[in-house]
Amino acid sequence: MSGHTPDDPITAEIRKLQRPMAGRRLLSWLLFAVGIVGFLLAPVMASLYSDDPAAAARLPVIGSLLAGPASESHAQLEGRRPDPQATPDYAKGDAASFYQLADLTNYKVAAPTIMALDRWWNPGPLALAHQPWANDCRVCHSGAFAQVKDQDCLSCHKAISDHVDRKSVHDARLDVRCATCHLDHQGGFALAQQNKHAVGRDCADCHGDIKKSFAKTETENVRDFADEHPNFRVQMVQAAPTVDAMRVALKRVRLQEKSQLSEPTNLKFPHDVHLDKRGIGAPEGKVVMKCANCHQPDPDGINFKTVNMKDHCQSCHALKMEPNLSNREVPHGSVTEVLDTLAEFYSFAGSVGSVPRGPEPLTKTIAIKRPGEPDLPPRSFVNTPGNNMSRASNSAIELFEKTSCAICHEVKRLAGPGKAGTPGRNLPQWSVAPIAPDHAWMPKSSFSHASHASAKCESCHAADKSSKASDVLMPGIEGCRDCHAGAKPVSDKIVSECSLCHGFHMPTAKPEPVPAKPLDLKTAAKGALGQRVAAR
Amino acid sequence: MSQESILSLGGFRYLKWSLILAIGSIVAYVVDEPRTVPNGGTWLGYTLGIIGALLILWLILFGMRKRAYRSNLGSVRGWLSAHIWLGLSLLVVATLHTGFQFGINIHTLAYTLMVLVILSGIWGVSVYMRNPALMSGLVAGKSLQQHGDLLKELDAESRNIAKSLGEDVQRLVEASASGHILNGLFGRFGGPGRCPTDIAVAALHQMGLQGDKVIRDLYAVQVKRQTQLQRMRGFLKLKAWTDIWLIFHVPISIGLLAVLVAHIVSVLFYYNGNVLYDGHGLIYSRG
Repeated sequence: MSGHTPDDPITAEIRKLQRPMAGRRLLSWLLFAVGIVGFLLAPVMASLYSDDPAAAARLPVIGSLLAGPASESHAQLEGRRPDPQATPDYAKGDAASFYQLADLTNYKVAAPTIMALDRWWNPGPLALAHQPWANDCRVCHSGAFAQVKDQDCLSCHKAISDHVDRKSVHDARLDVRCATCHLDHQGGFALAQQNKHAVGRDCADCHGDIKKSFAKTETENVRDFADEHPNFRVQMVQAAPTVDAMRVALKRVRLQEKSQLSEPTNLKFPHDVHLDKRGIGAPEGKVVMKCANCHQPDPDGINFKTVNMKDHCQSCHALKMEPNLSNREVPHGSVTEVLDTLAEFYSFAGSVGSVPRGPEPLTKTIAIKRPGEPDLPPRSFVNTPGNNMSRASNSAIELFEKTSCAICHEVKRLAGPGKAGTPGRNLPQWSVAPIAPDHAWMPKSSFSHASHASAKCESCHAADKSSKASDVLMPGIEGCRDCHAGAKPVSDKIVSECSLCHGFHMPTAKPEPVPAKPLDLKTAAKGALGQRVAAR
Repeated sequence: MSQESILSLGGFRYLKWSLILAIGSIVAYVVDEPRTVPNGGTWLGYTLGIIGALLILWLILFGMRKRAYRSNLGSVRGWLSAHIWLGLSLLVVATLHTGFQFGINIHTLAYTLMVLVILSGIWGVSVYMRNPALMSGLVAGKSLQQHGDLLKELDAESRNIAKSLGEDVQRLVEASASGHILNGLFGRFGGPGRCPTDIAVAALHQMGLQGDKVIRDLYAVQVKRQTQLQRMRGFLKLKAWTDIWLIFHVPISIGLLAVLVAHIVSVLFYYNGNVLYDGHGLIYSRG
């Protein structure tokens, strides 16, 4: 339309209206710049220069910003950091070979990045225990473009143990980093909890054919709880002269179907007699006992409190020295203590002419006798002929060998005299075999009794049929399988992966950091491809 | 060709591609058993992330292909059809890549920007499907300048008639002629203001009631002008709404590109890299 003058307002306005809308390009550049500078360059610079404010200050323009007042919490953070010098566990012995203390000493203390600029990079909530460091990426990520290093984890988690001692067992499959299993930024739950579900699947990689990898192992092959899991091994004491020696001589023995294991407990205790449904004699008459009368759970619901004489036995099995005349009991202690008490008691009774009756009215006494023995009332020695020591001696023989000690203990008469300088040194002497100490039965697995409280004790422990304390009443795997399936879901059963009962970290294996690899996409892609192929 | 819309091009070829990609991703997501929870760092997460990132780069390349008039690499219509359908499938791919983990961070920012770009794209498609037909109906094959010329002719005629009339009428005509077609930025998107031509038409209508023929002639011309203006305004408003989405679509997609780079660099900067390195079969074997 060349006929119109340029000043023609209508033509001019139409021309203007037909122009493409302005601002697209400007806005594009603006948004691009904001994205790159705000979310990439600034966090990277802040992260790189956080440790070194002096170097940051030398940078042009942004130097003053980066070198500005470092986060006030820096000092506080320093205080919270574990002191590398204070890692005595690993500094002892040949620590250097499996724990590079030098690395830890040189470990850079991470400070929060300036203005926590890289907090926008946080891909998700940390586990609750790690959230205090949420604004300080480099506490855990101590290098750019590198995997999370085991050292970073171990600088706080000093007490954690490894799966096996990797000084003695070499297998590339054991070279897993902490972060292979423990992935953070996945929510507030604890990372160990996360792996309860995740880790079990991998166990069969090695344990499916463990003999092939480790010929000397006592571990049997395991693939799945449902049908490829050996019966349990129970830990038992071995016969030994002292309790301490027994505690050291623990041995794990595999349960076999239809064969009863026997543990040298040195205790005489028939569960079947005590659990008789018709009841058992007690001072107050017949009493029907329950498991819980003696086995009381620990507060954690996993184990039980140790059964002891005073709380669980003595109300019936009183250690009365003159049961017809007195409530006085000998202590449930060493042989010497018992003999001293007897010597003093009969000396007092002989010299004063009366019997100390004890603190409370005399209650009915159960005459404890062995099966087949005549049902006689307990004997009294206070008024028998002879001197005080001969009465004490007769009473001791009665107590040790007939009415009290020998009821539960293996008692053996020894040649005297007793411990020099004690009142009972000239009485007959005995040895009492040590009772097997409390110990974990299945130390390689975890089992919470509280979680199984809905089941009856006897559905797993056949105590009511056990006549000897040496019977091992630990249940075999068959019982567990009534309710527990393997990893595959089965109707009416509980899916049970390895991690339901087993942990990965074995208390005796000290950790050895596995080197973290730097980012190398070529190797990575090759590795990933190889794994895909290997998985077929 | 004329029967095929951009969407149905090639018998919905790209819709099929898009569905294959989307359904394939969903199936993989459902079948996958990650060690912990689904997230961007699992094997599938990385795979979907790489597919998504490549898709985003390719979708942005459309802006260049559109301007590369001499390119023989497929027709622009074909590219556009693929751009639309595969852009939609990106919504599925990227959402599954996130594992539905969202937070206040650049990763979710990148996702949000991507969603905004796709939503504006859906808007753009609907605008492009609907408006051009309406617009060409309004301009009836003439250019906008030709429509402008018609306005100027009507103004000349009005002035001519107004010569014999009073000064106030002449002022009305001049005001009508000098009024803007559209009133500023907001006028372009709606806001039917009362323009001088509307005022002139209303005033002349009142005056014409007294029976003056010249006034009524002028009134007729001004009504023509008003109709013509409304027609042009209708066109320009549709055009504005058609154009404006690109103001969102393109810059946000460029912003997305920047945040996407930050997202990728940041996850590699502080990465864990289990999927890429560790395992010895740990990740994949199922015993």
